[in-house]
Amino acid sequence: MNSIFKNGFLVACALMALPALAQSEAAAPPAWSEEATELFATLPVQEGGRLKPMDTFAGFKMLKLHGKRSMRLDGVKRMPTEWLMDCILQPEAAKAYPLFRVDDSDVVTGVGLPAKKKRDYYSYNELAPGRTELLNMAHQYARLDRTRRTRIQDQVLNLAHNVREFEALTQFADFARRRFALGGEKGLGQFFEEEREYRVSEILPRVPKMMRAYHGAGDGDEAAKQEEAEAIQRLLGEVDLLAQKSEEIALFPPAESSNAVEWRSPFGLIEAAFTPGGIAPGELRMLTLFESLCDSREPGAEFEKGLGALSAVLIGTAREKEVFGKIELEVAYYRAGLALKSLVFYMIAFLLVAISWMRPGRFFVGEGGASGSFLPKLGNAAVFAGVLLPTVLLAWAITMRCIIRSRPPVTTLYETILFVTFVAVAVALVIELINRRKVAVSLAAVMGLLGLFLANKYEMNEGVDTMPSMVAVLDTNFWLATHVTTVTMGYAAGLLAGGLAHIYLLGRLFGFKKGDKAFYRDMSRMTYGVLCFSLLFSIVGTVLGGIWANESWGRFWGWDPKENGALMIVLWQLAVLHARRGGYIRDFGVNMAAVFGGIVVAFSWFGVNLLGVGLHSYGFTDKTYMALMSFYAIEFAVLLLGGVAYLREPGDSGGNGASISPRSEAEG
Amino acid sequence: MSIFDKPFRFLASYGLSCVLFLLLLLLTYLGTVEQVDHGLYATQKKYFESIFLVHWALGNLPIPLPGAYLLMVVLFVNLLCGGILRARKGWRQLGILIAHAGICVMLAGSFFTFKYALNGQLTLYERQESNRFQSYHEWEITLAEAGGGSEYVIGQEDFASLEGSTSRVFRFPDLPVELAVSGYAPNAEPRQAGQGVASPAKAVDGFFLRTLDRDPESERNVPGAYATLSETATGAQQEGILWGFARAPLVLEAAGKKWALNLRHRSWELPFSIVLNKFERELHPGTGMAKSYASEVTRIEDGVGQQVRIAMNAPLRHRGYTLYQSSWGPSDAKPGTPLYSVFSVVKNPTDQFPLYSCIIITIGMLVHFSLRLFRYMRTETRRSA
Repeated sequence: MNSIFKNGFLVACALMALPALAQSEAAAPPAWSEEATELFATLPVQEGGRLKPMDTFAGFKMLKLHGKRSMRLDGVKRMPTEWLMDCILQPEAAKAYPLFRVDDSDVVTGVGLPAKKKRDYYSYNELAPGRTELLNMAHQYARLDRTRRTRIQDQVLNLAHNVREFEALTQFADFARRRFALGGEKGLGQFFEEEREYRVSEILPRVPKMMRAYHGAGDGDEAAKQEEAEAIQRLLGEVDLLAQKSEEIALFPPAESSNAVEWRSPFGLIEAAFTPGGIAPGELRMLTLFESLCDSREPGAEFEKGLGALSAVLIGTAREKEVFGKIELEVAYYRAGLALKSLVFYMIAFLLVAISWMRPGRFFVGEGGASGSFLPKLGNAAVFAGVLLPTVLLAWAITMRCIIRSRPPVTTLYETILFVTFVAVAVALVIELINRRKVAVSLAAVMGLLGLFLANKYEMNEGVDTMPSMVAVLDTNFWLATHVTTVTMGYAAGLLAGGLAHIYLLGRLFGFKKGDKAFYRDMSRMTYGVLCFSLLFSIVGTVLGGIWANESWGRFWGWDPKENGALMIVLWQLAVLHARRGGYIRDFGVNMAAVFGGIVVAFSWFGVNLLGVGLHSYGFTDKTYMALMSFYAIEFAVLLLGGVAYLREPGDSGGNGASISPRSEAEG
Repeated sequence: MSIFDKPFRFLASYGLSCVLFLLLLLLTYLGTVEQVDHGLYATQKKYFESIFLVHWALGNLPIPLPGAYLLMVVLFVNLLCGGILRARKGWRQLGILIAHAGICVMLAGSFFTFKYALNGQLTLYERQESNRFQSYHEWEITLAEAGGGSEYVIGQEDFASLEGSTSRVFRFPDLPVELAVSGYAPNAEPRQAGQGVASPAKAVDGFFLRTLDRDPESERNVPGAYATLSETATGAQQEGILWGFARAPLVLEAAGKKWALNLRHRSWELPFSIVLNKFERELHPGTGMAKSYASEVTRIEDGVGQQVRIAMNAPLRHRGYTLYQSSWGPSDAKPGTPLYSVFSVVKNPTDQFPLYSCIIITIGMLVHFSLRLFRYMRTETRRSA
């Protein structure tokens, strides 16, 4: 969002939301029934150009505002859909939840509010007294160049935006709760015959007639017409203001007979009433159903009935238009939380691996050693199964995403993390099946853990839908399936080779299996083999990318940063393999090179996107940037430590001289 | 031992391969990072299409480096000598030989593309027809008698160096006039002299060319130059300013005639013409993001028309030319605003070489690594047993 828009947005919102500052007592969280939550979760909404379940909308909203996909309220978990229901239907309760994550208490004290812990959660009600100051400060900071803003200024801006996004949710149904006392003595009698309270949906069908009267049609004395015009202006002005607050969620499908594909928010429907055609009967019905739902906003049978009626209409229309798609599967995907479960199981697998290394013998077979007894074999099988289980979960998660999107496995940066992790772990498991040294399976547990930790952190930090609509050039499953998948497999193998090399280098540094030539020789062979695997996929993936570019833009190679990143991986791996074959480097050199190769992969995967130029540039949050810098720092430290290990004990095999003689150049 | 043995061994060596890969890696890295400040075009010219270059490290430390063009030529030779001619021939090396042959095909294709491919763009509004496409970066000056007559073209290479007071006279044997070009600026705008502007070194009819900084995005630069048209016989002359974005040609009088001069993008003729019948774009609902865009065109050749649809990832290939759906505009078009469609036009005889090389490389590497994996598995099985 550019800063001009940001400023205008904040100021306009500040003016609009002043009445919302009224404080209220904290209400207890409503106890929505499981059925109601389920119905609400599967309501389709259109956002970012695609139809998604309300549950996904709620999940990413909560992730952005709260930093997590669940919230603890008096020890009870509040899940995204329930929270969103609270925000829309019972905003006073939602305003008391500790929703807003503030990473530095200076942000809160800066707007004149009392701070809690350095990093803590604040409710809207707690922030409300400082809201005006917060928005004013954000307004000023938004004018500064992004690169010149301090960390605190960035956080102030972020908090201000989060507060506004929350207000957009809590005010979303204001129009549905509002009643207008009209008719009879209260004026506008010719439009509202009966004197009572009217809903917005009852006013809307009368709008065209009121507009005609306002513009001077009809007879009568001038004073009466003037008075009526003022009354119409007041009423419709108020309806319009309410409508503007209900723009956040595009909940309503286009009319069944319409060819339009754009869904509309209540704002869109209310605005339609002001057009010459007026609001269509089907649209009015949906709006009325939504109002009735808000009337019966207390949990209970009546609410469920209202929600069921609204859901039937929305889902029915979506099905009829054949756009309902995989909404239910998407809800199931996020409910299952497979990526998070995988992470937990990789943690358990990692612990199991650690124990098996620390206490080999009775329950686990030692590295490389064959044991005839049953128990240690079972122990090793358990380690393997411990890593296999989360890998299967991860594969299932990737498959579900493919089905939901009807796309190959990798279409976004988030999906590259899942896929890279899966490929790296799967290749490591295959290596383990071949050599049964327990090294590859151990590394698989570590890589699985790190990969999914990164995936979860990335999703949390970015806080945006990870299944977005695709730009025109990416709308081709053939190239996504070939180029993207292949090049990502190259990344995965490059990182796995780097991981194996860590074991070699750190093992030598710390004297692990000192003097065991066979172990270090085998480690190097594994690293070398995986490097070859990586080269195969990197080179084919990179060339396929060029062929795709040639098909799309008419040039095979455009020196785009992302293309260059992939080329750098290929060039580095070619240099390593040729240096190895030429005898310029041996086992130690190959392992050092594989670690550096990991750095090159990280640069290609994430680093080039930070440059902000080219066809593949994305805006990253500072946290992702910091994570990448930390990775570079750690890897350079590993290279340094590897160098120290070599200086202490030169040679290739962990202590006693070279293991492989250089080849003659003519050998090929 | 022949006197050629030593240089051949050097050219075929693994050492040379490694140095070439590392230098290419370094250039690719530098050329990627430098795009942030200097844009793609300038960086591409400096690092990737050059023979030698000087990289300024830390702002003021000059580091001479070979350019990627030179490196790739040497790599091709290295590959040919070491990877194919000198390499041991046998089943074990079969995969590597095939893969190296594939890389040779790719490098050869890249060379021919770089040397001989034409690429440019063709912009059409609906119902508009054209058989010419324009270069993205190159300009040309044209001279023709106003109202008709043959067009004389001066290529950019002949006037791009005429910056400042340097001038060159172009003579046309068939015409009674000659043209002097001077003060060429790769990015400039015509301005009125005076009005708070420091007095320029040269002005024509109260206007001068104000030189602007070069934009890193080459396509955004608009050049300008001073043109002096003289009657060859008498030397009588008239001056004017040529500017790339001028809406109408510069018209000067000499030898009793009116002459039209243009500074415009270099253009080429297609052996057929294209009429844009309809441009379609579809946005993702509720967003400004394009979901797809496509052009319904008629390709007219020898008076015969054929309907074709050009879309993203679905170009039109005909008579050695390929037309790609590149972009469209105006980007801020309101409903009802006439839209234009932009096609990238490429003539590249080695267009499909990357595909062929990709297939060859894949086969070669699969053969090689499969054999290695098979050997590794056999060793491990023996060890486990």
